[in-house]
Amino acid sequence: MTVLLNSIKGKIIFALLLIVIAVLSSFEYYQYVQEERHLNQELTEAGEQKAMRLAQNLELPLWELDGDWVGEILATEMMEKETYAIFVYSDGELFTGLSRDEAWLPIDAVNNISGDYVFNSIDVLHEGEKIGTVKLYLSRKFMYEALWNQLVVESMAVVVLSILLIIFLVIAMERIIVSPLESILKIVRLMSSGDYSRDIKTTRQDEIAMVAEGFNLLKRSVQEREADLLHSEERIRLLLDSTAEGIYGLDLEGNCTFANKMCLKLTGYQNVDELIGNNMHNLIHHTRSDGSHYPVEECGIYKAFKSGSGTHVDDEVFWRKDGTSFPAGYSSFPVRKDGEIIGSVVTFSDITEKRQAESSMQTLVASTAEHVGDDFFKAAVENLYHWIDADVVILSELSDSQKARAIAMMADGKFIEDYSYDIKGSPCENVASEGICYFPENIVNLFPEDDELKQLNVESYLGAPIKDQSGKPIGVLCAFSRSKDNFLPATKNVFKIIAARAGVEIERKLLEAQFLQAQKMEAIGTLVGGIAHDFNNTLAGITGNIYLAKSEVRELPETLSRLQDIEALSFRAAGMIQQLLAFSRKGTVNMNPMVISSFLKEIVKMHAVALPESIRLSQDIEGNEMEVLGDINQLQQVIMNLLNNARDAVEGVKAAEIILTLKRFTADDQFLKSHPAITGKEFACISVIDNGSGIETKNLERIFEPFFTTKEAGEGTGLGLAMVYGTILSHGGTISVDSEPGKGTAMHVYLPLLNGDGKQVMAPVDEEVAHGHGETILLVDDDESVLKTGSDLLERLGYKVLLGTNGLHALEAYKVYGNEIGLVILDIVMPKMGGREAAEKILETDENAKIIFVTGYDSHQKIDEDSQETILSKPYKVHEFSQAIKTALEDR
Amino acid sequence: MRQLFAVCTSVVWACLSIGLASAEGDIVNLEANESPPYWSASLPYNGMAGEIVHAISQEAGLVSNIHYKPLKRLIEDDNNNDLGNPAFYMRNQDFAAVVPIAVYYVSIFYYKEKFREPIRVKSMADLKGYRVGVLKGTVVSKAAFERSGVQFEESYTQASLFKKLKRGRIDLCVEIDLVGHQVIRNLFPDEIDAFEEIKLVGSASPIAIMVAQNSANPAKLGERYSQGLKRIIESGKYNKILESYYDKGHVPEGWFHQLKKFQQIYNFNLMEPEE
Repeated sequence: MTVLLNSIKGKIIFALLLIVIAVLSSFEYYQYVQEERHLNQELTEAGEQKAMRLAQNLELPLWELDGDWVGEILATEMMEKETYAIFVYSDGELFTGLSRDEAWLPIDAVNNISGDYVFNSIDVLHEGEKIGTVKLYLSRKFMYEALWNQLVVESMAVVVLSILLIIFLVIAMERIIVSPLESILKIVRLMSSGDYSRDIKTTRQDEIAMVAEGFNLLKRSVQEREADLLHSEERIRLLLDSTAEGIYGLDLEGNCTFANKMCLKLTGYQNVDELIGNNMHNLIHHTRSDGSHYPVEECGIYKAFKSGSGTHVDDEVFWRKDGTSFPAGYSSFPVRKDGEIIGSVVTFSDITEKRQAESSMQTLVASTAEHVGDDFFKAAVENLYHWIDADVVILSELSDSQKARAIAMMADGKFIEDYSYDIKGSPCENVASEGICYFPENIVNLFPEDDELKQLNVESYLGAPIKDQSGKPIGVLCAFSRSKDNFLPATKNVFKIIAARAGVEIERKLLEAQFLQAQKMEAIGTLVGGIAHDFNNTLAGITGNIYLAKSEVRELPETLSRLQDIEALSFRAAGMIQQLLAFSRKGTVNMNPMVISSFLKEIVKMHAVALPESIRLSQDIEGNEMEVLGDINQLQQVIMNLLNNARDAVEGVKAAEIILTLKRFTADDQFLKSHPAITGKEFACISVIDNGSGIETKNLERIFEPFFTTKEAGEGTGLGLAMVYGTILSHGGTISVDSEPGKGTAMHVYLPLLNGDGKQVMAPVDEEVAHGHGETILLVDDDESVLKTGSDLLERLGYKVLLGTNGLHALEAYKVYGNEIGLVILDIVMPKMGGREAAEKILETDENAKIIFVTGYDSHQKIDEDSQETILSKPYKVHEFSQAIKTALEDR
Repeated sequence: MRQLFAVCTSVVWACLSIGLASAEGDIVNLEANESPPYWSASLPYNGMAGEIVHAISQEAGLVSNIHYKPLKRLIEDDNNNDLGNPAFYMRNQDFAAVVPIAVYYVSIFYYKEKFREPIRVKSMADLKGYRVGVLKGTVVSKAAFERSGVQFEESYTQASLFKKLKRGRIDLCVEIDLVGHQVIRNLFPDEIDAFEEIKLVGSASPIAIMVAQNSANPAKLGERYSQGLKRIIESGKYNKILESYYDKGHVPEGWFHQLKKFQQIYNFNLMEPEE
């Protein structure tokens, strides 16, 4: 049986046999159940019919109470073998009963039947009245006998059918499957013994033929693979022998399983058989570099296949056959088969040269790192030039996206000054965008757009990006050689280190330049601020006198005209002083919240009218909700200055265009670092962009200096951008400029955003002179000319005037004439007691006192939006002065 | 009442016929219908009438063999010697001699427990309202009874009549008196007295030996039976036989008168001269 079931044939036959038997048995069982149900149904129906017939037949005999007659009828019914018993009752009493004995013969009986019978009981009626009952018992015995006989016959048929099926299957399987398989097996055995000369031949088209074809394919595949394997082994051997590293394999005991030629060469053995099977640790790794014993348990190679992880070591030594050692760097990785570690593969090399190179590199880095500032840059290029045997070394900073300017450069043994180059199309562009790059040869052809390369006539290139602290490329450190593949791999690391340090040094240099620039601007501001104050006082005297003189020479038109020219020149000079004060941030500013977008739109509307038609002025103003805290007059002057500069820059340019933009700007860390004076992160960025002549790089750092101008004499004062610079800084903002000569300039003004409603709008100018009605005004100023001119002017305007030269005078005068004085005009900066202190004292004695401040400048007077003070700048215009006085008095 | 039993005469039985086989030597074959206690193969001497026939035959130097057949076949057979009531046979067959040898009476039986008062039947009208059982085939004119309001029910056997009587399925049954007694004794031996008999006046009918025409010397055979009857009556043997069935002192009155009357009726020789 086991043999039978061990063969496919046997299994198939057995399975089919089981299936057939199961199916037939199931069918038989189903048939049996159906037949049993059917026969039971028939028997039940027959019983009912028989009982009914009996009841009808027995009507008369039972009515007649004729026992013989009844007996005859019952005897007739009992002739049917299924009838087991009949009992007839008359008027409730047993009248006649027949049953079966063991021989199935009818006998008289009483009704004590028990068992499984089809039972029917039916009343016997005579003329509709019950006269008795007949009870009929039918036996299922014969039904089951018939069923059993049928089952036996059909089972025999199943057995016979199964036997025939087995015989048929055996013969069929033998012919269809077994015999062909045996033929295949015979060929396969030949194949397994290495005889591939015969194919399995078959004329059939069935699955066996497919199997045969499959074996034929398998045979050819095995043949090819064996050939490939031989070829592959040969290739692997060649590969192993061609590597520059020594490679050997270990089994789990640490014994050598293979070794390549380099392994033999490095370890000094002549034949691989000297290594195969021997413990490699004992042969080449037994002793540490200090001469101490190296236990195999501590060996990294040993640990590799014990722990199942790879290892790399480069601070140990291997020992040659002749007893000498060499510093070795090795890697060991476990070899797994079916998930189990079966050994490891070790690759190693002699790292003597690497050690030496590393040592040199450390020396180079250390000797370079000890320098700072410009010395560092020079030391870096000089050391690199000599150490890596380069022909050219450049350490440059990126001035913009297209240009690189050499901070330090050495070519052919000499430092080169003032060298800059386009990086577009050069290998440095790759470095700036992708990181460190090495082109070992043919660099000129690789970058055909780079003319500098052709001029230098170099072959290989190595470059590393110089980045700031945020990772943004700000420069390139690169080296060129006229030899191919001139740079060692370790040089990359040196470049990385020096480039990183160079990034720090460049950032430090930029910060120092910014600091110096800020100091310079501050010094200039202080200087011009001091000059402006005295000059304003002088102008105040001049303009006041001119006003008075004009009123006295109304009859002399020529004289009046000249005085008017003098007055205009005086106010022009005053305007220049205002701009100087704005640059120095010592002018008065009236800060109020303002919606910057509507402000800008208004300016564009005003300025567009003044522009020539050849210049297109467009605007891109966003952020209607943006608000800043600013002096609307100063900001208006700022924008006008920028637009005027742009207008001048595009003069003569074809398709001249000026664009004014407003965008919301969120400062990043880099921006904040570049503009350390500013606070906050949210800004309104106003840009004035032109496509004009642009600004030379060398002029960029000076454009905000007062009186610096590139315009022709008489065309510009050199104060416009200085005023812009000072004004924006006094507003807590900053300004930057992007410019490229010949392409245009973009000036970006950043003003800190304010949360709240914009309140300030540009008010129309009222030039009417307001006159008084004899009110008394106390005028206090330390400048006598101002005092005299002011006194005359006020009297001319219809006021009585009291005079004082400092704050103490003002207090004394107010104590005596306080009831008469309607207004006090105080210069802010005076000797002994300033105007502001005097005002506080006066207000202590009379809280209703009205005071106006005047000033040449006041470094402490930046008026906030809640202030109620009135401050007038000297020299003041008469109509402004008179209106301020009138307003102050009316408030009273 | 006489009319009733004229009808009953035509009604009743098929069982009382006598066949006289051809007398060849001393052996005569007779055919009768099984009608115990008159004719029955299972009774001693073939029943009361059979015993009389054998007694007569013995006196006449004859051996009479009685064969039993169904009544219908007896009537339809025109060549046999019959035993029974000549009225049933003489319609189909001419006999050479008819020798009345006994008389039978018809009675009405009922089960006493079923009735509070004794039933009296003087005329047909007295039967009205009762369910009356009769043996199937014995009622000649059923319509006559129904017109008189008598509800008839026929039964197939005498036993059924009496069983039904006891069960109350019928109220009365009409039966030959000795037959009734015999059935009651057989079926209900412990309840013989529970049944009441009403003897019908004028219900006497003859039981005769009828000698077929085709018999050898039929007239002489008839004569020999007549002589044999005469002798056993005279010897008292005849009376003993009667008393063995009616019990002593219970032989119906007028028996011999009625017998003689019937002998005169069927004495063809006597009658012919009268014509």
